[in-house]
Amino acid sequence: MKPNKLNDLPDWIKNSNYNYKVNYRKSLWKNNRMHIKNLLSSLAQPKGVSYVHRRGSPGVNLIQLLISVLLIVLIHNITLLWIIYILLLFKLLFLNPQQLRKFIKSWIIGSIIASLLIIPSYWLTGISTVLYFTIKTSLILANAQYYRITTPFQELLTGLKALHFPDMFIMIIAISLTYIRMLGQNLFLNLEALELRTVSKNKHPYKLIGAIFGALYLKSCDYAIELYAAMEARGFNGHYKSIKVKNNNFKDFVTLSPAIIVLLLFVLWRK
Amino acid sequence: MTLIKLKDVCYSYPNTCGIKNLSININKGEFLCLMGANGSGKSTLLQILSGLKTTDNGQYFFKNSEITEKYLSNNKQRQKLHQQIGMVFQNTDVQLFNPSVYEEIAFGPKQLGLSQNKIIKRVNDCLKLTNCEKFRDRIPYQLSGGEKKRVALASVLALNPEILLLDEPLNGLTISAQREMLNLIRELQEAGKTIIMASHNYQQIKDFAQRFIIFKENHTVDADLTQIDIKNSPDRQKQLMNL
Repeated sequence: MKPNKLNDLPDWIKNSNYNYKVNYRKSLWKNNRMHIKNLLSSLAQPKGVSYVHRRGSPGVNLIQLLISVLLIVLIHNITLLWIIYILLLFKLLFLNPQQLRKFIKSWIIGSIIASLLIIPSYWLTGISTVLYFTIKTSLILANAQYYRITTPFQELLTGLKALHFPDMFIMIIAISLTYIRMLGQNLFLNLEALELRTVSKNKHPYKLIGAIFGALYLKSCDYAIELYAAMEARGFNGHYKSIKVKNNNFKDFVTLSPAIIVLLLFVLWRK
Repeated sequence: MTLIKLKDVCYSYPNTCGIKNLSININKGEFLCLMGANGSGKSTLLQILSGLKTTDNGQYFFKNSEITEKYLSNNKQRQKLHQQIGMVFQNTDVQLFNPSVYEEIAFGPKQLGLSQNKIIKRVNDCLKLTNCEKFRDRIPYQLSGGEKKRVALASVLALNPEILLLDEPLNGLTISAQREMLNLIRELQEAGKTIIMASHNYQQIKDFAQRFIIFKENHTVDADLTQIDIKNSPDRQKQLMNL
């Protein structure tokens, strides 16, 4: 390809003058842009999950989580709640330092947010209810957080399959999570592009938010149509077949036994 | 005059390396082409130069100011940098968010405190330069891939940056549109703009770019050559043709 003369450039392009009278005032978005970008970045590219030794099969791990959460919700006996806490602490012993740090950080943040939501009940029911619900909520969050940092996405799907969740439900979860990441990535790039072209205070920032989310919505519609077309092109006929699940072994029952024991205590223990 | 100076720059993504020990100087008015295989670090370098990413190690100087996280955390400094360095993304879809092509191009000039007449002139000039006049009232989202590339370039040009970073700007364009865009880029360079373009198609740009920085697959720089150096080296030409 050889160069040839095509355009006559306008004068303003030939001058490099950057002394514009622009307003560099701070705004909420500019002050928090790095936090928002980091959040979107982690949504778009979630950090990897490392396996923990001595864990059961995906189905058993999911059952263990569900039993724990159910017990925490139903239990009114503080001793049993402490037993669940101790069981969780025992499981945390098997996490590596990096995972443990991640666990503690997000657990503390989650618990603080949950406490803030519970605090208004102090004026209605007193301090004991606030403490009771704070302990319960933080315990649920801790169990959920433990499951999240030790379970890869694929294992969650296998677990759901092992619990005989309908294939279509599993497919919807799989696509939704992938889809959220894709949209997060898109929004992240949108914001990067916007940042490059934001050279002063914007007069109509709210109009801009509407425009970006509008574009994101259009993109998501297109992506959904393309995704379904691609699935159909690869033989999808509305029936989703997920991976076959292996039978449980002795290790799985050992893994599940503490939760079962607490469940039995809950059923049988009467004060 | 050296505009950009990179000294032992390294950048890593969570699981992979982006750029390793990159040291180059870029002078004002150069037309520089970054070449290399996919994932060799071309786009990462452009993002560092634009201020979207900061280096893990090493130093990046723009007009003798070191661009660091601290430098970019200052709104005024960051926005001044963005006025002077414009970037066209590889995926131009994410760059276009306004309801019409006209408003897309006017988005930048409107923030510069220019008079209404100057804004209109800038937008019309950019529409004409990039051959986007036909679809000035259309929604950018509904344009074809090649048209979006042209609108994205027009919207960056409207800010009149001193340095243009172009990430694979010719992808998705027809041969004639590629020629038009390359001619425009060359003219911008002749008018004093510094052009830094990522590409993996040597055939397209061999007569336009003056300098080529070739990346290896291990994210380091393989060679920093002029157009004449490459024309005198059949082996290098063969290597670049096969990228």
